[in-house]
Amino acid sequence: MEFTLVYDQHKELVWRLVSRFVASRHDREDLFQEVFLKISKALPKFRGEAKIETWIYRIAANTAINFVKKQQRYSWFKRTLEFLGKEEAQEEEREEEVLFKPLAKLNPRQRMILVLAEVEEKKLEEIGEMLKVPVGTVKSNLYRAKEILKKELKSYDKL
Amino acid sequence: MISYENYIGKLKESRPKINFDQVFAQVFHKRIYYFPKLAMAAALTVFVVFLSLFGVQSSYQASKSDDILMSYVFDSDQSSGAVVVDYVFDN
Repeated sequence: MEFTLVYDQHKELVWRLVSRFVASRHDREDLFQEVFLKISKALPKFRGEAKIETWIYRIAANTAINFVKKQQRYSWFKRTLEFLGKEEAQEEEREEEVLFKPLAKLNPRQRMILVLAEVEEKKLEEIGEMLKVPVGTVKSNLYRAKEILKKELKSYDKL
Repeated sequence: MISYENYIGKLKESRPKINFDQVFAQVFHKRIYYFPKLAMAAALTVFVVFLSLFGVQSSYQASKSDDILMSYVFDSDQSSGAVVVDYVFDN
């Protein structure tokens, strides 16, 4: 299957997922690019065992989880860079970043499971297949994520 | 306080913009120059091995040709001019 075709058919899906997973525009675009780089690298090995959409979701979800983990590891460095060089964010961007603040309280896997289940409305079995974890793990992570998020939202008057 | 359902609704509504064509060009560019880490490490190892072998080889060659000519030994008894009878090397 040709990469250009895969990109055209699935760009919206990947963008929707990554843009609901990370807060800043810059991070989203970086992550989006990283996902498609991985897809282009793995595409020759794709044998069609799973549906291509599930396969793409799997790459996107795992890349996104690792992306956030990496970010958390180097967060002090990123903050320093932002403090030194970043211009004031646009109003629209700032609003979007505020919207993602409560999600930042979840660990990357909980966040991905919540986004897939609640925002993307995927079935728990599908999520388990995407992330290669048992359905029980998906359920418990989703439950925990909802609890954390509900508690966190109590401190927000508006978003 | 914001309700959980309201928050999820806001997340669903959020539609950040992106220029897909521009990002595709960037992805395409990176794909061409994308070098997997493993391949990069292998290439670097080959380069280092090649460099060290080349270094050993050239130092060996240099040691072989280290005989620098220091002076000539002439036979002063020759009537038809000085004839070189030996060479003195610095080795």
